[in-house]
Amino acid sequence: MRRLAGYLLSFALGCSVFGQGIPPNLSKTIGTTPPDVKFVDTQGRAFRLSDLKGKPVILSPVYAGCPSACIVISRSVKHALEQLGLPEDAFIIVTFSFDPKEGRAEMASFQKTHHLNAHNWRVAVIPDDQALFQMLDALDFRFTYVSEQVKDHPNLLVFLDSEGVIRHYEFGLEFTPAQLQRGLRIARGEYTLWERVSDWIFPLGALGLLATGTWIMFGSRHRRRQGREPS
Amino acid sequence: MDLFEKRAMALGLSLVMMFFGLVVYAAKGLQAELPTCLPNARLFQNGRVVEVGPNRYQVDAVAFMWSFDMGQGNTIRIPRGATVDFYVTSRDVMHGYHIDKTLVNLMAIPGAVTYTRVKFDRAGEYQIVCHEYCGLGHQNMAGKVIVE
Repeated sequence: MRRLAGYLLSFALGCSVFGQGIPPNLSKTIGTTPPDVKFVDTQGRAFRLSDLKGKPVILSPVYAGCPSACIVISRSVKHALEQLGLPEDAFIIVTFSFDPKEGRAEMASFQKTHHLNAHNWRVAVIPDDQALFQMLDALDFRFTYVSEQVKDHPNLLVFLDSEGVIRHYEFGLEFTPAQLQRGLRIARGEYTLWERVSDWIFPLGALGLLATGTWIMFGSRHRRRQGREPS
Repeated sequence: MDLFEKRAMALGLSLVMMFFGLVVYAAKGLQAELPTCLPNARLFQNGRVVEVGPNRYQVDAVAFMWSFDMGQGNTIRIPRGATVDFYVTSRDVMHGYHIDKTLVNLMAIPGAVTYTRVKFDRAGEYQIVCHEYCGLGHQNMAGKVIVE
């Protein structure tokens, strides 16, 4: 009961204060490869996404100064992964700051406070501002500057496949094991039948509309002609 | 079916298809940004221009009877090649926010924030006009983006 109340409170908080932000346009991002920019983790080790090829990667853009949403996201991902019990070498998570004013020290403090210390969890920054915005543009991640301390942002995780191609987004404040499992499954290229056909629903619907209109127009003419013919 | 009805239907279908084609062209060919209404966004009372990154700006614009407040009055200056996020709201009634020579075409709605992004690749002056009749001083509502 207490747990349910906690979820409801988080949901209400999320909807009322932090559930805002501009959603990314997935039609522009899915299937593309983000730029191979340099990350530096909190230990000072530089790496690029190309170094992580061979395993699915989960990207989690956050900012260390966030008063709530980024904390809830990171903690829920940590909790969900513990529940899933997947081997650590099956994927990599990169939590990075989207705030150009934050550096390694802020992210190290964020990592320490929220115990994001799994072997496959990299907490990092993109030190070059141009490169940071190239990455944010590639993910179509847009944040709104409210004040020095507060930024509104979409709450999401991005799943890359083992070749570094964007395959899936999961949205929410409190991520569940099922969401992470789905994202990793899609990142491995294992789609359900619905996921395979869902992109075609709209063009098929438009074609259906056109075909129905054509049938009404020409079908009625044909029937009238038939009716005129002497029997 | 009556001949007139049939023609009206054919015309209607053709127009729907044409508009659909134009929407697809705008989205794919012109890479038009879809304006977004953010009904739950934090409202702001005053305009401002914030440099959020290298050549990245955020403009909070407040429309009111009968002008635009963008922090530096009704004119903003940005460098060429800047990418600008426009957040527009209204302090009183419904206004419009159109930037000439761009695809920016937003409504300024009291109690809500509308958003779009535009990249200014060419230097020059871009006129901002209210294109939603808002009252007696509507024709005075104007502003300017100066790209240097």
